[in-house]
Amino acid sequence: MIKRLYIFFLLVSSWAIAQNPPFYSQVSKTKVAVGEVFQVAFTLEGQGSNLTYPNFKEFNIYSGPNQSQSMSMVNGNFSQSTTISLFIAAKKEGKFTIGPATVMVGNQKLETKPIIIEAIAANTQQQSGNANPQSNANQQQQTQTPEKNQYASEISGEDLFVRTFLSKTKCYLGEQLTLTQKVYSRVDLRGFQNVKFPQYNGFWSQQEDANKQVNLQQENVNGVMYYVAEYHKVFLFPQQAGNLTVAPVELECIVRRQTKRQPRNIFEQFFGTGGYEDVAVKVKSKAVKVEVIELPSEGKPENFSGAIGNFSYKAEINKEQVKANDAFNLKITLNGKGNIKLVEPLKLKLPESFEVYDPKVNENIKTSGGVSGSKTYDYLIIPREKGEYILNNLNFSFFDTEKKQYITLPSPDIKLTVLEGDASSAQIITPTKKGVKEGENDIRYIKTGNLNLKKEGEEFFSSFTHYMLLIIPTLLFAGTLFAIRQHIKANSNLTAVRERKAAKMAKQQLVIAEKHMKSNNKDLFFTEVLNALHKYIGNKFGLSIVDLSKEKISEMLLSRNVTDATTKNVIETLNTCEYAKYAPSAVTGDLQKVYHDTVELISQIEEQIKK
Amino acid sequence: MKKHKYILILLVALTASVHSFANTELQVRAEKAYSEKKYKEAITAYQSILKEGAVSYKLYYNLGNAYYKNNELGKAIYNYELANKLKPNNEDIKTNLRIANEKTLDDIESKENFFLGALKSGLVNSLSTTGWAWLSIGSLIGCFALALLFFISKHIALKRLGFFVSILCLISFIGSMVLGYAALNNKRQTKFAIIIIRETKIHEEPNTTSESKFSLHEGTKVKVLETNTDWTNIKLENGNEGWLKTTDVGLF
Repeated sequence: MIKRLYIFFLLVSSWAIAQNPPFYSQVSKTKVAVGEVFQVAFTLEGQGSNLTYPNFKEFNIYSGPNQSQSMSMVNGNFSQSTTISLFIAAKKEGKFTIGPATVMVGNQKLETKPIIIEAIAANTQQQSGNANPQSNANQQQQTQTPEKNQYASEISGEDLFVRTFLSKTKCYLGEQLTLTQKVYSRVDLRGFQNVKFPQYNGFWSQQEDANKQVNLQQENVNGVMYYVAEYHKVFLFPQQAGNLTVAPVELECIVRRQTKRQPRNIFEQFFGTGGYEDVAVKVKSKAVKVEVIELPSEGKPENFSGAIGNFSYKAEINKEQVKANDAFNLKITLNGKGNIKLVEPLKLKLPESFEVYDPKVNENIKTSGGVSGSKTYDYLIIPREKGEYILNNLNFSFFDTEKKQYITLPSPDIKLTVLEGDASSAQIITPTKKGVKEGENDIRYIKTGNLNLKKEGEEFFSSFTHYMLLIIPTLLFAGTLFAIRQHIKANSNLTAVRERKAAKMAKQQLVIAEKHMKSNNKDLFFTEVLNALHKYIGNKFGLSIVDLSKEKISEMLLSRNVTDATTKNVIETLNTCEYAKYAPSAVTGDLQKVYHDTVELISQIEEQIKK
Repeated sequence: MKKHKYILILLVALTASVHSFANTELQVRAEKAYSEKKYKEAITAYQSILKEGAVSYKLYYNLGNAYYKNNELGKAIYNYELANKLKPNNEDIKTNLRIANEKTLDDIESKENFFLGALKSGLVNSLSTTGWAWLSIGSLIGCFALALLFFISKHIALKRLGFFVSILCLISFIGSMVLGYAALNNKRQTKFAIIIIRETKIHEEPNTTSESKFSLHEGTKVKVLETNTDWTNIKLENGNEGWLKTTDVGLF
């Protein structure tokens, strides 16, 4: 430390030797926060003995006492100084006096002046705090009066701090704010590093051109000159209402300061280059707040698309005449300052027969000195119907933050003539749908001839007719089925059929005989009766006519439970008939009786067989 | 047996000719107007036929054509749809309906086109209700005839043939009755609507003061959920719902 300050003593203090008392005390600060470490030093110019320093009851001693001595020889004059220094901090708030230190120079007892220290509460510290606490320990303030702020290599909050400036503390939603970060410095500022920009939550931000060179300017702050570097500028557009906070920024400033290193050679010593080094000092700005208010709902135009600032606009079309179903372009150009990037495409109010496609958007935006520029919306529009149109509903509205009101720019009157389009082009420009089959561009022709008209609402399905047409076949089928079954049953035994039919056939035969009886043709009558009987018996008993001898007949009849009397009668009748057949003139009897007997006989046989 | 057959033939003849209208004069006028490109006249003439309470798929088809030529796309599509309802799967109707639909403005993405649903509606619509009715009658008679063959025939091969074909006919009969009823149900219910005016607003609620959600354009087909004389609740194929004025649509 002594070596480090050696040159300092020579340079700074030599002038003071003549006038300053040879013994004095000094502090690095007279106004300190409770707990803040500061330095107190007692310096004797020249030689002395018994240097005593006062007690520090009100303070905590962090370091020291450190004694240092320096000697110098300038132009043959020898000078010497001795310093005792301590690092102390106040225990509590209040005003404290650091008592005098004493030293014996020759026979004379010298005393320093008491120093009054004002200790204040710790939380009212300066905004940036101590930039680099370690650097405190390195420094030795040599000046008598610290208030004079003579430059030293100590870097305190007063020497280097960052301030955040916001152009407004109260603004409208979407209004442009300018946020500037400035570094104030009284030290040799060389540059920045590790800049941590905050997230601008709740804002849409647009940084000013990043490649801008940082220029140092001089600025007077409370009577003190500072070098000011405006190192960051950003334009913010609040996206939500309420109290928004811009988070602090943190960065490291590169500061050039003297080194405690010995100069390496004579040149370094002479030019002073080797005596400096660059150190990084962390600084942090304070958070700033802004109150964001909603845009007034009163007088808000219907077509307001969120543009805030100051704009002008232009609308133009590329053709004045267009065929229906052919496209034309509507170009809308916005020009101005404000949140132009956030402006939504205009909601076009066009005639209903106009088909509007999403616009192509082009932006040309500059960010120097505020966001401004132009934006172009290129709408592709297809009119579907012919006619004369005047497009005069293309107003554009924005909110003027200076006048604090909505401004609607009137629409220009754009005339457009839509001519009749080609019929075919209507299908070409519907690319989303399937192509029409070749040769089927037009509808098919109407139906001529019988239109097969029917009464409205008439329905054949589930109608009475429908059901009848279902039921009738069912009944027919059921009936047929039944008949078939019966038929099959009946045909199952052929003899039974013949047997059953025998009587019927005999009766038919007898009907013929009856005719002959009436015409009194005896010969034929008996033949027929005989036939009838033969056929009947033959059928009944399954015998052929050849087999019909009288013995056989009576045998069969008897075997089928026919009574003797009936059998006898049958034989008798057969005999009568045969006799009459061969000698008809000899027959005397009653034809009527023979006929009735035969009928009677047949029914008797029928009856008796069944039993 | 012979008597029954005569009754059957008589009945069939009756059903076919019972409501035959004589509108030849109007029809001739309409056809002449259409061929001379006087489509408005053709529309009037065909509508006069409709007013007499007579319908047929050909009539709707012709009316649809006249509307199409007269640039009334919505009504054209509506009439084609009516024709299609009476005569599903007719090639002429399908072609003209497709061409007309190409010209509609709204392109609604269909979300619900399930395979089974399409298959079912395709099957039901493969015949008209009258077609199903005749198929049911034919199947039943065929079933009986072949059953008789089975009972009467003495050849074992014929018997077998009769039996199996008869069973097939029975299945065909049951199927045609079921599908016929489904087709009849489809026909009687109002299931769809066609927008017949240039543009109509779809409202959230059935009143004009409610917010309009979107617009639909002429010729767009929508599903009908509910309808009364003033308002109709519709659903689009993409799932959107809303109310529109009943006068703006043709229901079918």
